[in-house]
Amino acid sequence: MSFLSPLWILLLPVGYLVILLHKRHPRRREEIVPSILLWQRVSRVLAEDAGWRRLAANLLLILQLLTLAALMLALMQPVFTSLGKALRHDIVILDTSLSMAAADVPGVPHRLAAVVQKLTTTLAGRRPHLVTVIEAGPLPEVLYNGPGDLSRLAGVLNGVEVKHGAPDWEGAALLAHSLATSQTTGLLLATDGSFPADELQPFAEMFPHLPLTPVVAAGEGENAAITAFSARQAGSSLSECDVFVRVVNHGKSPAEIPLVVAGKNGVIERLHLKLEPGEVAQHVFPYEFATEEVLEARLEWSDALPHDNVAYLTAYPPEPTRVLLIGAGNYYLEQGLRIFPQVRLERRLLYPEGTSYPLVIFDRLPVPENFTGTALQIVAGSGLETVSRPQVVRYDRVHPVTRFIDWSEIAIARAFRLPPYPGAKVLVESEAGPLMQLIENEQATILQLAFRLEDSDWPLKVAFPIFLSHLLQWVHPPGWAYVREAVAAGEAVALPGALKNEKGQWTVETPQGQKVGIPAAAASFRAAYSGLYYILSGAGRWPFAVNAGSDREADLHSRLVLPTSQTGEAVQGAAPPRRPLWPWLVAAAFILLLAEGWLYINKGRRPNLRPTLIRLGR
Amino acid sequence: MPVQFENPIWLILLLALPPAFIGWHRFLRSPGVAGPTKAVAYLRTLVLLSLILALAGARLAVPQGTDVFFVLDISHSISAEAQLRSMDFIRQSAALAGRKDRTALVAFAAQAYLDRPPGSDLRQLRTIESIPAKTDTNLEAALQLLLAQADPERPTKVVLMTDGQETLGNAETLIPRFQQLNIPIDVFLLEAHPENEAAIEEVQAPARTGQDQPFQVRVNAISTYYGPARLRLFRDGRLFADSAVNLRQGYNVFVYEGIKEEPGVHRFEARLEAAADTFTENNAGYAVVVTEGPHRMLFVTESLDASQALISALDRQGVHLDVITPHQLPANPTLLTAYAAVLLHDVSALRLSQTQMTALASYVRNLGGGLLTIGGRQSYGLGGYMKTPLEEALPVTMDAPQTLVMPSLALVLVLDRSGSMGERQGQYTKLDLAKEAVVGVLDVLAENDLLGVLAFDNENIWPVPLQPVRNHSAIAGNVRALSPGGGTDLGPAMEEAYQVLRQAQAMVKHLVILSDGLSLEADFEGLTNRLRSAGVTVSTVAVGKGADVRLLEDIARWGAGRFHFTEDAAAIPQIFVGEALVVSRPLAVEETVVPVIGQYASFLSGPSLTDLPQLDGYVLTTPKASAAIHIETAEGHPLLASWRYGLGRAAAFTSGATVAWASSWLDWPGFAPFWAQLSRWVMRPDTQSELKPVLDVHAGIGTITVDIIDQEGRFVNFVPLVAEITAPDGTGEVLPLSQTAPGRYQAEFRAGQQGSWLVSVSSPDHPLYQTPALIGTVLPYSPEYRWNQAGQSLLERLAARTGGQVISGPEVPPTSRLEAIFRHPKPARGSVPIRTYLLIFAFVLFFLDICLRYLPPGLLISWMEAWSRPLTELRKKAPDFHFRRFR
Repeated sequence: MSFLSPLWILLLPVGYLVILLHKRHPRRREEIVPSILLWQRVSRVLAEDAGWRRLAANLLLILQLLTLAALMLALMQPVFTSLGKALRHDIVILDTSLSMAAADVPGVPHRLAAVVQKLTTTLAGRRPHLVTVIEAGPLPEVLYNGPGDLSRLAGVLNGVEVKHGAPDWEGAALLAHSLATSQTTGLLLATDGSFPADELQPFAEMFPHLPLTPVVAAGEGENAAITAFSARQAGSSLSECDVFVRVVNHGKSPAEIPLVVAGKNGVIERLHLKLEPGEVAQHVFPYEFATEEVLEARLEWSDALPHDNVAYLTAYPPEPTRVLLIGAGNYYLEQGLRIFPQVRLERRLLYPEGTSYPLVIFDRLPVPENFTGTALQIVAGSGLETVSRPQVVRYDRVHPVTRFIDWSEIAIARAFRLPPYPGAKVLVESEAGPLMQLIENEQATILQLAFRLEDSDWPLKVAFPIFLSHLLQWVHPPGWAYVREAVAAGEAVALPGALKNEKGQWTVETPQGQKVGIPAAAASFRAAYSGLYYILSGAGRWPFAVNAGSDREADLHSRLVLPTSQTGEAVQGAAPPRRPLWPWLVAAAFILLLAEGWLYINKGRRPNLRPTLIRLGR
Repeated sequence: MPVQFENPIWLILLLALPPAFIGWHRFLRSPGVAGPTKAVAYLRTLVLLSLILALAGARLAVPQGTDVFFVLDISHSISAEAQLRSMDFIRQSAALAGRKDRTALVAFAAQAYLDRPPGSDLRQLRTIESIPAKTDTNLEAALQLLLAQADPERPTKVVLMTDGQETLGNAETLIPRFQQLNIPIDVFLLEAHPENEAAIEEVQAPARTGQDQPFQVRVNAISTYYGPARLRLFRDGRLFADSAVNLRQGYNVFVYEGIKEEPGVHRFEARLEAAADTFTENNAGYAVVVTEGPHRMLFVTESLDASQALISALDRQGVHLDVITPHQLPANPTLLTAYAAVLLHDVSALRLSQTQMTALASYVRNLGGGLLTIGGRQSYGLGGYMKTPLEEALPVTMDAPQTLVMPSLALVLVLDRSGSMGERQGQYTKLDLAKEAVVGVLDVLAENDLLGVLAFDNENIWPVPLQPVRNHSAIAGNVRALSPGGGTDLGPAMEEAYQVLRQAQAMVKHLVILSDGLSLEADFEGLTNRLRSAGVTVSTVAVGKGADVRLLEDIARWGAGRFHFTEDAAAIPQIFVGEALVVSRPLAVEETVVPVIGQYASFLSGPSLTDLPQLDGYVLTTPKASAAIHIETAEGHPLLASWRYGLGRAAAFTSGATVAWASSWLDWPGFAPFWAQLSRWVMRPDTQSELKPVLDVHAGIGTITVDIIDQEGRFVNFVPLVAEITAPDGTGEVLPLSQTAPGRYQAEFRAGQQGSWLVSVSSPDHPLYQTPALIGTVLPYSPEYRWNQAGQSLLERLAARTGGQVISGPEVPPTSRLEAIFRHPKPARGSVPIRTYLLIFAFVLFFLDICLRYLPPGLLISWMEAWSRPLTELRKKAPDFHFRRFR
């Protein structure tokens, strides 16, 4: 046992004071009487009167001292250390990927439930003092981080739901690493093992001395899945598309699987697929989307994982993209934008306030200070230093506007040195400064171009219309294509600025009808569940689909291989656990007080009854 | 709520208080109990209450201090001096922490660690104990760790000390969580690079080139100082160039030009050695160039002699040519796809058939081929390009500039309408074609021009008497009413035409004779001379082998006109139109002109192309609206124009490349480079594989995407594609590509090695796609060893969006600013346990309880009197007499 605040022992002398109080002879009050003949014995007593008396056994004193001692010890915060037992902290990585929804384990609804059962049993045997549970789904998060209270843990684990995507092992490993302490002695992987072997490598890198302890529950279920369902424009109009669907049989036996593709007007395609184990069936058919439509591809059969037996494809007539060109006119921009049939180009000499366009182009004009929205600004150059023949030295290969364009091949005769803007993102850079930079704030998004189009051969290159199409797609996706490509669970869906609500945020409606607000800083949305989602805006509902099927998750076979680079040396717990004792002491003091009070009252000792000192006198 | 309880179940003991108090109170009210002693009941009750509250875990709401997490970047991009400065910043800041404030330290690079937990004393911070891998910067991991460690009940702030150059993760994705938890991020900016550092930013080279096609490799280097360095360029592992360079502060671009490669994949590696250099990890850059088989150009010329200089120049520059005459030009666009471009050198449209020109236009428009036309006296308007598919494909029209003054014209067309003209060629007779040719001429002529049509066989008729060209429909109707007749007697027709033209009031008078047969004899030379003396020029058109070619040729020579022979009657319209053009307006300028550079283009780059020599003539054309004018005359007439025609490029040089109009150019050093660069510029980039793979490597994952579309623009599906991946260390991997959409195939692989990655995509089982398509990409060194301004802007965004501020750096700011670190914009009230206070209170009260019971009341009263006057009343109430119990 040890004391967290040992200095309170300095209160010990108080007990001695109490003892002194008990030893102190009660003082007699002097009373003058004419004679002491009647009080003969009193004289003898008076003679025996002294300031202190011998301390006799006194239960009250004992109770009082014990009470004070209990209070003093409680102040000293004693803790009891259980020697010989190291403190244990277990981190649990719980696989909640799509394959865990497979209903192929007897007695439980799905693999996740089976894993949770096994995990609970394992933890009960290990009895860790602290537990952290991290969900390894498409969006890893910490589910629990606290004492190893099994009842609380069971409540948390039973409330976990399967997500409809692949696990982000690296993200889960990162979370685990951030919460690991010197007391972390266990790293448990609760999974069905149906993923490629090398995906656990991040754990080996972040926990080189802490091996993964598998907790595996898997079945032998059969599964076929729709692993791709997409469409691309194939005709002269945006609505004429080729639709592609891909089905794989990951079962161990041949399967005859009906595939039905249905749209607004009923069944479009009905196929009867005969697939050997591991075989893939692919089908392409033409389809013309008439209006807003959702296509559904469905495998009409029953297997262990029904979530990937259905996939969606959303189509929406592209809205006209209104583009406002401010300036005296720019031939290249006008011609370039006019090749896109959904673009409605308007020209003005001056920017009309109070209007709203998905894209405003300021051609050699300044952007008004109170501008809100998205703008492309070709700088005027006046007052800016001129740079001759700048060379592109760096460009953003990932940004939606600049990707897939080799900017280094564009020859620029003259550019202007842009003034630095705090927080601006440089997309294309030359040795003399940015050639294209993106300025984003709560109010506006401005893409600045540091050179005029006619000062380069950019308009003559394929890169120019590609850039314009990227820009238009980025600014106003609803105006782009008929068909929206579905995403997988966990993938980010870029939220177009044009669909923000009046508060500058987005509202997304989930397949369950729930409305989720997305703040402006997020700019993207990641769904953990498959189904049809809608972005709600004043202009209507903009649909997009999240499909569950993938080659990776469709294969339910367990093939768990733990990383071999971990040394396997167990980590000893550092600090032993401590149990505080003060509540016991305070409770004891409480009881002692009650007892002391009762005893005092019932014994009838009246120490404050002052004895009388009788003195003879006139 | 000001008071909270952790274990409120203990409050049930409060039920014991009332009876306890009542019991004591009754006892103490009994006679003989001193006044002060009565207070024991209250004291005892308070003691019990304190113990109950202590057991219940009472907590009192009090203003909270701020938890400040110092998040320190210790990756390689942070210099040692910057780290020392930041530690100093932490110490100075921690010294200003309030009593209730707590500080913590998170150290991060590729991983993040809680180096000092909340409540640590950082005033004496000297070392960082955490050892993350320093080759990357994972800002997201650091902030995520912080979120896991932050106490949600205490106001929390973050002081982020970094250069912001995150190489892993995306910190901005955590902004919404920081906003939600009300945790501002203050930024203390650290330098992004050490004092002395030179690095190779990138090596730029074209992804694909043609065999022997010169290209340039650009090495972009960046330096923090001025100084000498050594730059080496290796090609396929062998030293290609080794030079001493002088680095200047900032970006340095070194260009290696004129590199040529044999077909295959070529790796370039640039290495920089600088005297003062902190990191060597960033001193290498890579590029991969895939050189395909030869890009060939089809050179079409009527005169090999005249084109010899140009052919030699192109050959010297490595442009592979196949030289043919106009009639050898394939009439099938598919046959042209073997070439990357077609060059017409002073080729008359009259030498090409309609199908040839249509095929050529289709080759450019639909198949992406290149077209380059070089002028001369047989080209453009002079060559009858007007209203042909060739004119459609070119960036110029054959109209002369509108600013020119057009002379008045009197044109008579003499048509043979003998019986032989009724022979069909295809769908139409020769006469039909001639009639349509006449109608086509109407569009060329101005309103005040005079047009007459004389048709002859054995007799002469004027379906269109010489008249102004105002009523096109009437004229066309009359012409179309012509029908074939009898024999061929040209002489009287010429005489009659002479009589009419002699009296015509026009500045230019011209006669065009069309015949397909042998005429009766006449004094054609005399007739022609008389026409000449009247100021009339005569051109002739012989149609078919049956025509009197020799006679017509003589007549054209006597008449100072042009002779045309065609076996294809379909060429008649363009011949007539060409004739009309030639005579109706000036189409060429044959005088010295100084070329002026207009719209810039990459083919105009090069040291020898700065000053263009003068030219001695050019054909007048008008640029189309979307054409780019690269070279023009002082008057603004186009000399070199280009545009994109469908999938391909077309360029028109309206002057010549021979001694006739470009004598100064032949001696010009830039002659060969100019034509070679222009030729390559128009060429279609790829003539090899049908597959167009795209390779992207990002965040350690390589993605191969192949789109297959056939020549009709249809998606090609169900192709079993295979990718062979070669890692920088030479190890290989074979991956099948899965089809994910119509015509689209994809595969992913792990790409963590630095260096050049090569991917070859093919379908061994598919006859069309067996030829592998090669693509390469480079995974450079970790971005940890770069530096740019992007980091600062990221930090500014983090601060602005979370309500934090940029504290500034790199020097430690003054104390006044450091104090602000511990001021939270929204301070909260937290709760603190008050158990200790309650126990002390209980302890003291109980001791006082004992004292009241065991000390004489008079003593107590006198003490109390000394402190409080109202207590004197107690003295009065003190009993005078107490009996002591005797044993």
